[in-house]
Amino acid sequence: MQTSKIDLNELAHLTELFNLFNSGRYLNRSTDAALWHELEQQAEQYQHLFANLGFDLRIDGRGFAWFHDEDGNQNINKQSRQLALLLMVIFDHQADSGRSLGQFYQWTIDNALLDDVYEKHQELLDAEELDQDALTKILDNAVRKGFAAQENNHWCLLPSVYRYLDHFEAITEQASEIDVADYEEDESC
Amino acid sequence: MAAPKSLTFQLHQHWEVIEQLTRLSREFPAFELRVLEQVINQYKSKNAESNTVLTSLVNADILQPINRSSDYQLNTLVVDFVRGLTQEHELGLSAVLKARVDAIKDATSQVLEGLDVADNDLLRTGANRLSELVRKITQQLTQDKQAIFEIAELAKSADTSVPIERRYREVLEVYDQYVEPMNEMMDSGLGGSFYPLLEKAEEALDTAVDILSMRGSLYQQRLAMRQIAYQVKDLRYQGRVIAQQCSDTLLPLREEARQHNQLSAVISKQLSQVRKKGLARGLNAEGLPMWKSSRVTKIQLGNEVRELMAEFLDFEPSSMPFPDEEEATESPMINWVDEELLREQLADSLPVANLMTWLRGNYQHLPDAELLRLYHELVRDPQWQSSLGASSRITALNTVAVTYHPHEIKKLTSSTNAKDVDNANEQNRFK
Repeated sequence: MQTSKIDLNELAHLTELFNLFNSGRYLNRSTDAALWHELEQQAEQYQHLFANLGFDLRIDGRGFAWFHDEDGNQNINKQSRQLALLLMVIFDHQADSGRSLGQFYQWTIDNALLDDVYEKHQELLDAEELDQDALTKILDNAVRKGFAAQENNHWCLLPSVYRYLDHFEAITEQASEIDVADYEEDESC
Repeated sequence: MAAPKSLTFQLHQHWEVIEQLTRLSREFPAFELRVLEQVINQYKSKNAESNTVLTSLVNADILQPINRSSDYQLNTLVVDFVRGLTQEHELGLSAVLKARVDAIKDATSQVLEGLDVADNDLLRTGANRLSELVRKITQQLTQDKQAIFEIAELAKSADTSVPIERRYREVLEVYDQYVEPMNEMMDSGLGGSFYPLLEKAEEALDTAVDILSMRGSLYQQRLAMRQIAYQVKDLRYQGRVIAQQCSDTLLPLREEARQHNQLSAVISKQLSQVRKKGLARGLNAEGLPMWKSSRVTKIQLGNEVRELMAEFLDFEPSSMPFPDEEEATESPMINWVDEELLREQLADSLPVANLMTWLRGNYQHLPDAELLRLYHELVRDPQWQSSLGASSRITALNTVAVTYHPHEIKKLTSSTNAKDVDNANEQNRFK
């Protein structure tokens, strides 16, 4: 049991931060500079406080933080899957155009780009019942959850997208295992 | 030749094994018994014997023994079918596509000739050939597109350490041997054969529909022609889209413009899985970023509800005496007067010179509306005779005063003309 005391007076933005994290949002350095600064200053205090309340606050040095929750419900699972797919097709398109994937936070994602992406992967997206409107909706949802920011008539990806990139990179090694798992899943159907 | 039903049944039973064998058949033209057993053991359903599986696959003719060896190969029909379903196609030959496109010319001239000599059989044969060709070309184009996607995905997801010449070798080959000839064929200018031929076929079919309707042929026949014309139109559109998609996919690789690193390789591989299996199965969801659900789903009973429930537990019904009969309050709906009695009274006091004053005198407590209603009803009553007075009178009721020609009621002496009574009623005027 940790004995360090938490001084609530020092945590000036506690309510704001808690509401933000608890609604499932990601905090990004680039968009919420003030909150991020405070969180960085009092990182230990916050983590300790939230941990005692039953929340797992994770802070990533690349500039984002979130309440970690392993088992999301089915709806969140679906949203996350669709966002993953959208990010994949956008990244694939940008790679084809010769843009550096490491600098995704500098891209301007507008409707023209979404149209190109849709055209390129139309078959795949149609199979998932995602048309251009649906892609826009996924991006809007990403804005609500703190993965993207909307500016005028375009979107920008935020550092929290690293979460997905980490996930993509992590699955390379497991590739062969997936196949087997898939078949077992099928059998039970 | 195996029975189709047993073949498809075995496909259903051992789909996983066959899918894997089909995938392997790219690298191995024939399977040794050892390899087969390995695959079967890995993918068979849990409660099946590997030997039984093998025997049933051979019996259903899905696996065929190869002459002069102990190896097996997959039935070609099955390979094509499974590849079609799992989107794992081999790239076809552009020459085959070209030959089919050229054959459209023959079929078109057959349609035209059939029209010229009014030979319905020839016309039908030509049109059916066109339909078949269009179907085959569409199928091949779709398959080739999938195959080109696959090649591009393989190149994109290749290990970053593989040198670029080797990584893209297949892409370059495909581009030169397939996409270039296809683009040439699809060229809408003078060089291309795809559009002009299909356009001619379309025109021939449109003319056929016109001429057939002029000749008054069967609706079914015209409908068939029109459907084939639609297929041809659709193919023209599809062809352009597919050619565009193929070169869009391959060009960034050919030009070596694509960013290739660990990340883009993984993404390509994942996209390829999603294309073949769909998002739910294709994307590995384990460890996918999650976030807290924004809605709180926990519900707790508030103290108010607990209190309420505690009260329910101690509930004792309080006794309530049955209420006594109450005096009915006055309301306009109530019947004001015993009409039987009234009629008897009136009959007793006949003759009455003025019914209104009689009513007013005897039933003053009645509301005006009720009184007037009674007046009208009594005047019409057939048990006495009523006659209309010549001069008008004014009588003040409870709240209003009425001006009217009074009725005189007398005992019935002779048969009264009902009409007179009616007329008399109508002459009543109330103000």
